[in-house]
Amino acid sequence: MKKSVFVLFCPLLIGIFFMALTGCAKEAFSKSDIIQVDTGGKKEGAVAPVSITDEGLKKDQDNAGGVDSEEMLNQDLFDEYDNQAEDVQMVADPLYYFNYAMYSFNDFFYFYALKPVAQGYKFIAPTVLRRGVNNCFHNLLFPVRFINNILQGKLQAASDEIGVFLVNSTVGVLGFNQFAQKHLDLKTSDEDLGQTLGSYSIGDGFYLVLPILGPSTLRDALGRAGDFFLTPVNYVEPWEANLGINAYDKVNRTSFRIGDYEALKNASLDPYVAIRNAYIQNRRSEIGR
Amino acid sequence: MRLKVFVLLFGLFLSVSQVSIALASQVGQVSQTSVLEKSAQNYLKTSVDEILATIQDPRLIKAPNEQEQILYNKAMELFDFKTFSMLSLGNKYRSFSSDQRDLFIHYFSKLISHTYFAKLAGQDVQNINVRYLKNTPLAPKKNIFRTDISTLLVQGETQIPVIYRLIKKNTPNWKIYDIKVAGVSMAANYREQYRQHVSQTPEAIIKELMEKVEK
Repeated sequence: MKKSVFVLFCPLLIGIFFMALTGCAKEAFSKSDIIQVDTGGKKEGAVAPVSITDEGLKKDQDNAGGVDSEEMLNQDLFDEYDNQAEDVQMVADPLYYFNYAMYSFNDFFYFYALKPVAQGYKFIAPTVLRRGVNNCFHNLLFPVRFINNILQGKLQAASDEIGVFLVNSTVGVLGFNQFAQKHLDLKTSDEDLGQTLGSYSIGDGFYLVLPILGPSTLRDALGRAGDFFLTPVNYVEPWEANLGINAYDKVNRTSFRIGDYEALKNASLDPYVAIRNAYIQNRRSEIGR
Repeated sequence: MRLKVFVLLFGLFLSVSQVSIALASQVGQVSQTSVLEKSAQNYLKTSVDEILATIQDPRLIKAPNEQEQILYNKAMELFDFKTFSMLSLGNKYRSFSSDQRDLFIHYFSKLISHTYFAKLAGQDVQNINVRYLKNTPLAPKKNIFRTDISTLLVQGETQIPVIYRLIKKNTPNWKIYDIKVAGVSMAANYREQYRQHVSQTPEAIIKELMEKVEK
């Protein structure tokens, strides 16, 4: 009797097994799957690539087609970019002369004060310490991230922030160690009031370079002022201690980024415009996130 | 007995049909996944790995000139500097003669590879890890295929989102025509810089670029 039951159920089990397998296969594929935009190009794409991949890895090439067709393709592409939101990245800069003066000051400040100090500090302080301090300051900004997540309606992110803060403040010893990120796969997202205002469709206003703090806009500067009250460090008294802590944070942060500013400056033809544009592009992407 | 045979057959039928559905759906998926974009990602990954290996190679670190040359050659192979230049110059590209375009592309490629690879070469790149997140193909235009490959550059606790924008014209290989680092498109950044200098002539632009590279 037992045997017959087994005979009965065995094929069914196999069937269920394969059902599960196909389910998994489908899921695995959909994860690594690529979002198709245009069905028109799909067939072309599926036919052509076999030769492309084979040849492509073996030999390098120059234009396979004639100059004319290459030129035409460029033209097509160019037209598209021409018509595309070219102006999206523009920002008004009515305070250009003030901003340029601040930019020059910040540049001077970076090369003659911040960079040497950060380099000296980097030389003395072990990476473990610098990372730990960085994490610690990051942990202290929890209220800023939490409140702004709430204000943007990102409730899941807000609850993750709580989790990360609680775990890192305790197990991670005052946030020195990012235990939650490493072992619990929780993430924080850098949100600030400027982004929150941006997410309410409030525009940049105009470009503004702040002394020492660097590039900003009217909206982001107002956001910064609001976030000031959510930053625990700013409640430290006396003000000298507060300033000292903030300065140390700045030096510690800079010690990880020595060379970034130089590279951007060297690669650009007009560093002021390059930085302004980079700031605006970066903020737009953060707000759209 | 008949019942047993029936159930047995039914079970077998069920499993066979599942296998065939599984296979069919997989075959269907593969063709849908568009081998083209897969190849773009594989190509990018191999190239990025090669560049990281070159940067980390202890022998080449002692020979910076050779390293720079290798990286420059790699960049020439990997980037479509023509499209990159075109998008960086924006409207001004139209006013360049064919010779001027070639000159611009030549110096522009040097500027990019010198400044950015030089920066990489000087850095601690031992524990850099690149995670490939997703491919987002753009709608194809005639024979132009484009895809954005989103990656995450991870080093310690720092994570920087980097999007490589790849194009395939009538060449066998994919090529990078723009890189977006933390949301900042390099081509758009240059375009904005050139737009600010409205009256700059092609000659002046090339001269400026040349001086910058040879400095």
